[in-house]
Amino acid sequence: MVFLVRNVFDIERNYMTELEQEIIDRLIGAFLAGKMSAEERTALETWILESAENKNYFQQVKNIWEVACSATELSQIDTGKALKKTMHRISGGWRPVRIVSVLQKVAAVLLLPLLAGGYFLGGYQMLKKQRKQVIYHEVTASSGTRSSLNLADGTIVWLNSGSHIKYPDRFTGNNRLVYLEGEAFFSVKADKTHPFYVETNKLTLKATGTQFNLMAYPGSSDLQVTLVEGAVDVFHSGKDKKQALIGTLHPNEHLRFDTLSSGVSINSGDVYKYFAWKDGKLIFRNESLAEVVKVLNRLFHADITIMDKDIEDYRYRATFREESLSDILYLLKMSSPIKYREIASKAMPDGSFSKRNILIYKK
Amino acid sequence: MKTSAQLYENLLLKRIKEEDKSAFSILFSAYYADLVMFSTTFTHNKSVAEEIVQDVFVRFWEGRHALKITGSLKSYLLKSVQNGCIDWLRHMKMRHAYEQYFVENSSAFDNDNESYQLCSELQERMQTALEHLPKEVAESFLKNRFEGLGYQDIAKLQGVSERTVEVRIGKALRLLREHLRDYFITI
Repeated sequence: MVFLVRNVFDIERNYMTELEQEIIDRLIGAFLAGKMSAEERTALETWILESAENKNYFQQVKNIWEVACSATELSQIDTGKALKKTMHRISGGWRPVRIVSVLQKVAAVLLLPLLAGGYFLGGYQMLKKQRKQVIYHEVTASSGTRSSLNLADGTIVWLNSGSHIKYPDRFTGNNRLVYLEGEAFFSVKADKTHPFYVETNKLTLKATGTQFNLMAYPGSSDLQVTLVEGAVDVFHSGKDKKQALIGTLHPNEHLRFDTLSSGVSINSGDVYKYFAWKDGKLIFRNESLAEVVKVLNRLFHADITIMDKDIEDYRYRATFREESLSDILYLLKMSSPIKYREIASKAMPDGSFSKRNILIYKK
Repeated sequence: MKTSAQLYENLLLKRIKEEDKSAFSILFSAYYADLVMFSTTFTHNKSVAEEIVQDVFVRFWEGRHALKITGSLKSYLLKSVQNGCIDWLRHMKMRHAYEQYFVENSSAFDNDNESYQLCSELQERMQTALEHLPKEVAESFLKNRFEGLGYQDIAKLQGVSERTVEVRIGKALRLLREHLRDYFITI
């Protein structure tokens, strides 16, 4: 076998004859399947080492063999999950919020030198083009903070404290779809041909070019949608309710859906208080203390409990702007017959502290 | 002359050295799936392949200040993953003395990491390239690479000898390479 290959080589040095081609094809086919005799291996090895051309050919052919996978195989790899796992391994934890700001900062830095050199800015686009699959980004606004971000289509999203959004790096297909846990205000870029969907655990919202607020914290039975401009349809999420329509909102309408009773109510009027948070304001308009405490617990990730039933229904009217929880409690105490006591936080094993624990009493 | 993708990657590397974990996560997301597919060609086991690639990235982060990358970042990552796979194979062979954990000794059969094309890079062209193959050649290739059939089974299916299947696979690769030639040109 070896002899035969060598002979062919000596005769035709410049190009491979059909016979030689067939021999090499067979050897490579056998090699890649891992089924070769020792002599066959040596023959192939010799051929490869004969010239840079041969080596090149073999490497390229082996490359093609190795990457001839189906697109589904590639898409079945859960990069997001692997990323989370890996980020936990490199100690110190990680907040995904910064991804957006890194891209913006990187885009800005890249723009300057590239423009100077006359290149078209496309670094990140090039990396993206090489990946056919859409990448999903996840952003979380940690407790006590808010984030705003821009989506690929020009839609702006304001994310409230403790909320989490998952969105694709680019929108493909007929619809634009994002996933929300918590509360966000959307200013959707108008595009009637591509409706914008926000999916939460229990509700899904469909909009085209509108401004609305959606509050859907997991673990809360109180879901609210507020429409400022445009039109939205609110549906049940998921398969069991068959995505039935819950209601359609018009500007300045506020929908409240109770998941426990399946009760729906739509009110209209001054709806600013529902999304004033995006401007850094916390507005209470005749809200009960119970309601106020619920909001404070959520925004500040605290554990406030009302100890006397009598005071639960005290009503408050206030506008807070970037005040801390301590300041807000102090102001509430000053304006109504209540007092409160804070129990010291405990240090947790991972270095953080347990939630602030506050008890409110009748004065 | 560097491409804008290379410039971008250099920027990411710089940010990583400055403790930027988000830059690291962008790199991870860009390469992870392809590296897992590459790793699978050695390990034939997806979960082992994933572990190896994740280990490579963890070591990459931990050694970020001492990184010495000659050539492209892609080839560096491919080499790291390959080394990780070889270590695993050696370990398996030692522990289990299984013939299947074959460690390649001859450098003749090495990959060229510098111009290696990743899964996602060849995907799109692969489809059209496959369409240009003669029917029985394409079939042999697809049944083996996409459906995971062994040569013996394909031979039975096609009513030919195993040797003929070997030739067909080799021929499929030859023709595919013709179609995909321009991808292998290094800049």
